[in-house]
Amino acid sequence: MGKFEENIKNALDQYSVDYNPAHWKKVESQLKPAAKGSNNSWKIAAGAAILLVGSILAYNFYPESQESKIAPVQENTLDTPAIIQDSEQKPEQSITNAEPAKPEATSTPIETTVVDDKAKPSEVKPQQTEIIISEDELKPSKDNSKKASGLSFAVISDKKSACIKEGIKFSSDVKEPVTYRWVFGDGTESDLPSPLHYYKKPGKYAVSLELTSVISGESKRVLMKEMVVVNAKPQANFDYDIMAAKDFNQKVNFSIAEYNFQFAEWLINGETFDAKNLSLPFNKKGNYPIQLVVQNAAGCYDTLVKYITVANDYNLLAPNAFTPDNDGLNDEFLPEALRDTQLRYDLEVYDASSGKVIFRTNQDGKGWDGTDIRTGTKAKQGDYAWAVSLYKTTGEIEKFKGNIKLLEL
Amino acid sequence: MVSLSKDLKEAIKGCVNNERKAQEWIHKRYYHQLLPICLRYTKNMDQAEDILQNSFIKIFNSIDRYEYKGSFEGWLKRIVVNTSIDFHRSRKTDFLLLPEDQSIEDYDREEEDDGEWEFPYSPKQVMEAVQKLTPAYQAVFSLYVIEDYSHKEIAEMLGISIGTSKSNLLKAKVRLRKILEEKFVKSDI
Repeated sequence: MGKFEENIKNALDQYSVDYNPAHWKKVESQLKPAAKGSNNSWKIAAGAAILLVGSILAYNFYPESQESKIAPVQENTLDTPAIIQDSEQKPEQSITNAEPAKPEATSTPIETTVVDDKAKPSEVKPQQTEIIISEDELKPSKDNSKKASGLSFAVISDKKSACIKEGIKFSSDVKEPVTYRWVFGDGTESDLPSPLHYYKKPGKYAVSLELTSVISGESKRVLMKEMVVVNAKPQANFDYDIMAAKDFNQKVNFSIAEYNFQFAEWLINGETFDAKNLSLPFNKKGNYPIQLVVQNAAGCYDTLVKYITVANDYNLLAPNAFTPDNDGLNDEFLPEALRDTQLRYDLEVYDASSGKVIFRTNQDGKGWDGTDIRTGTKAKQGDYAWAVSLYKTTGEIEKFKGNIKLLEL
Repeated sequence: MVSLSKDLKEAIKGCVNNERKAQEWIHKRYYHQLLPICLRYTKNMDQAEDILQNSFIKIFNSIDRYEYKGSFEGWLKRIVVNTSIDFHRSRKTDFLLLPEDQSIEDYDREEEDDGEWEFPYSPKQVMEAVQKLTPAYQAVFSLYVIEDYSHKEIAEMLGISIGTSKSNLLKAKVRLRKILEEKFVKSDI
């Protein structure tokens, strides 16, 4: 490991925080109800733990779609206070109600509190999409499924919810050669075996598939048990103002223009920021890409990149010409930003053609009056270059340079 | 089996029994060690405390699965790291890829005077700098440098390639140093 990493690691190891009792209150509010009497509680908890282990085993042992077999275990677990947590732990799947072999299977959703370290973004509150499970047993398909002896299939989607402009892939597990008729619930249809569908409006959609066997000519329609949820996208938009220079900085203020989001993140010059409003220095001229990503509660996001143009280098607000004629106006050259600064600085002026230093000062508030220090006489009309070294309180020396025109009027 | 202090054993047992006092004891005892982990994977204290909250709930709900095989602290830390990574993954606004020119600039600075570089930064400044990294850099940097995971493990945890893990680590270091340098310059004006 390099020296740098070691330093970082050491520094982070030393980082300390104060205990926050309020945090415990928050944790406590989400824990399952506390045990009351200790003896009693142990039995309940132990029982719960055994049930829990049982359900974990069962759960792991029978992969997906075998819910009917573990249903009894789950029914038990529902009664214990220990297990009322995360009921969304169910694996990604969409068994239809039309599975003729085990019609009761789908009516018992899996309820486990298997608390898996690796399991999904945990309870992180607002980001999760609410998934509406349609509990209705749908009559037509059920009736159909009883008649249907040969055709048996499930309808599957690769996700239960999506954002606008995000495709959802539908498929079925039918084995025999069939023709397909997908009805997406938004007025569109498809005859592809596994269509990728893009919903144009947010909402909940009931999707069905009608298959016709090429062999027997038999038809069957199956509705997906869970409706697919399509969430709206937020709109990323921001305004910016390039501010007048101040305190040795030329700042740009950014503010988000649309408030239809929950999280916002900026990417500017390789750094990320999550404040709604930002003010950042841009001391070098150029075009800067400013990226803003906003995300709503459903987890849908939108990205916008705007280029901002900073027209000039920040140059200590130096004038570009002066007239050293003792008329009380612009007799002295001194970058404006240095006039009242408490910081130490060196100002040098060079002859543009020879590159020789003709003036040098480090006095507060004193600028160049046009005198060439080599000769003690006034310098001629023309172009000169200047350079400033500014000694910051941090020990850093910042350099600025520019050109100045000496005018004789 | 590891040997734990009597107090800790009692507390763990109490937690298995779902006793509030024991849970609070554990919370109080490990808050200091666990919160900084969360801070390294987030932008601010609020997000970090949210992750820690979720972590503690996982910890208390699954404490009966702690088998006294490794250190208890290590077990807690793993849960917190995993919860942090989940948070990182759940944020779809992830800048896994930076613009090309950015990375070129980063690589140019890569091997600059690593040896005798002074380190004048306080723990607080370093933490703030880490929080300014993009999520992808934060994750790789923390996992590799602080948590001592290998690139192979990181690649699996984050669902990226080993090459991406390696290059993101390099870029994260360069970026972190740059943030620190700039921060240091600006901090006292």
